[in-house]
Amino acid sequence: MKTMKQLLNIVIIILVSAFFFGCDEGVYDIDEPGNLLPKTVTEDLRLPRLEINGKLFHAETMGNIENPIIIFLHGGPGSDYRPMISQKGVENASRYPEERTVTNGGISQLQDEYFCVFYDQRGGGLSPRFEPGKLSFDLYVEDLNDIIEYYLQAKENETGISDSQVYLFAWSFGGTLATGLINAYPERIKDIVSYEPGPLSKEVWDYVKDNTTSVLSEIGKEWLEEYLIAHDHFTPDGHERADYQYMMNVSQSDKSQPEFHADPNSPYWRAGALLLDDNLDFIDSEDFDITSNLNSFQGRFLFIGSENVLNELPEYADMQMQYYPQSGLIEVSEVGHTGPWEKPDEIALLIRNYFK
Amino acid sequence: MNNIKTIVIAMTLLFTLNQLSAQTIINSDPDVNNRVYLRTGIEPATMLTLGYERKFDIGFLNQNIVGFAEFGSSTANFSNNDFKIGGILPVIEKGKFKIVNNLNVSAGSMSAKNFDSKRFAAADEVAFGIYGVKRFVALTAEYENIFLNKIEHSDFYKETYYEDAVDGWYKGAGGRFQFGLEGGFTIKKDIDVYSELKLPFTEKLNSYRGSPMHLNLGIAYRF
Repeated sequence: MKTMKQLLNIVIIILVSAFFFGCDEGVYDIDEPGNLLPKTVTEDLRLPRLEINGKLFHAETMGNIENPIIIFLHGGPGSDYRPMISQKGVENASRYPEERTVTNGGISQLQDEYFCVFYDQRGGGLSPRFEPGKLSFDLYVEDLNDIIEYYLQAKENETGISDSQVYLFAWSFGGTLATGLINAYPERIKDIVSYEPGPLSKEVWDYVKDNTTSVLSEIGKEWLEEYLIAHDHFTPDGHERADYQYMMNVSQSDKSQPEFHADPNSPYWRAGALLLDDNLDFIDSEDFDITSNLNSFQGRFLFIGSENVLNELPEYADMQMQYYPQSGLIEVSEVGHTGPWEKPDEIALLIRNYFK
Repeated sequence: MNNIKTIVIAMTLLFTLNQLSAQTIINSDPDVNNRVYLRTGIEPATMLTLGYERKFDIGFLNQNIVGFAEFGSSTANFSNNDFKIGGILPVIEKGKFKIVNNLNVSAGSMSAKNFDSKRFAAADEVAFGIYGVKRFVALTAEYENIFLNKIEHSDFYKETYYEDAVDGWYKGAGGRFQFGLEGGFTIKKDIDVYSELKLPFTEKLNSYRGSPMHLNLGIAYRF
């Protein structure tokens, strides 16, 4: 009887505490946007945005639209353009343009000669999220094509200047996306500069996988243990929790992918975790083709590689450049995969010179 | 906020007192009342866990209960740890076949580069198995609900990713299912060796996005 009473006590305590937890305004909802991660353009009307054909993106432009247009493509997939408008040693760019202390940070300094278009790709950064299975590489290519068309038309409408091509700067996965666009619409792009583009074929993916750290070899390392134990603290059901967990990987990229020598202090707004299920970068593909039509491309391709990554993966640049009919290579010294954030002045100068 | 702390502490203490004041059996061995165990494996990280079980007679349902308390820690960082208490009760017995229920609550703490978190969870595991005096094998199904967290973001996180990140108590961190197989045997009369293999899923049966499976090996001493 005594034990029965004690069990009853437990049930009452649990019910009472459930009531209090349910009513206490001091307890936040972990899935509520804005608590753990910044709100996206869907939830925060202060954020700069672009809406095309019913598609919404976190996006902004800098510079005079009379100048040549550069579209900037960030990495990931699922990352954002914040590290391209920020730079090492300077305050990270606020998500609200009016609150920035520096308005031409990072490689956005090119706005003095070019009309610069920055956008977060679908599902990444502060662009709206999508459920797994809703995204594809082809959708990304069509988004980019629509954005190019939109700004070429805007330029003509606002200035009377009729351009048919834009320039691309593409970083990491952005290079894979840019190549997919050029393969599908080779006439759209004048020239492209890519900072260590993601693998353009399965052959290159295999080379990267064979020469980089496997996660299995990291079992027992503190960075991976922290990531794993976090699953006991919140599960990845839902975007907020999944993205928040994934940001743990982003902040430890120097340890999880040491061959890329990324600076872990490189800023981001948000990395989309669930879109990784959609194989946007072809990492899980047995075969894929985004290069078979590159011979039709009349422009030039500049591969900027970092000294540290090219030392780790010496064949990487040549393997990638072979797909482009006209290509060149420039190495940036004493830096790794986050070079555009670490050395934006040097890389902006390379872009200027190449596009001229 | 103080109300919540008080309730959590009171609930934990009361649960502990209830378990420790009960009485029963471990693996059908009528001569054993206590067991200490050491378990290591991946669940969810590489963990080392030390635990104690005690058999109680609960005085009703003609059943015994095993109360337990265990402390587990990440092998990479001892400040990432978990404390769990609970009770194990056979709910159906037909010969050696038993359906055994394990109800427990836990409190965990972790410190990472982006944040520190404390979490409070409740779990229930049901095992369907053959339990002999010297060996057992069982299929298991477990659900754990994380009902409260306290999250504090690091300066690094706020400066590098999100300056407006909110520190405080959180609800709704989700739940986890695990389906598995466990078994063990006894050597030298009072030493138990056992293992567990579990497949974790979120409560919505989505990918757990951590270790694709959890594996534990344990050794225990009965007395």
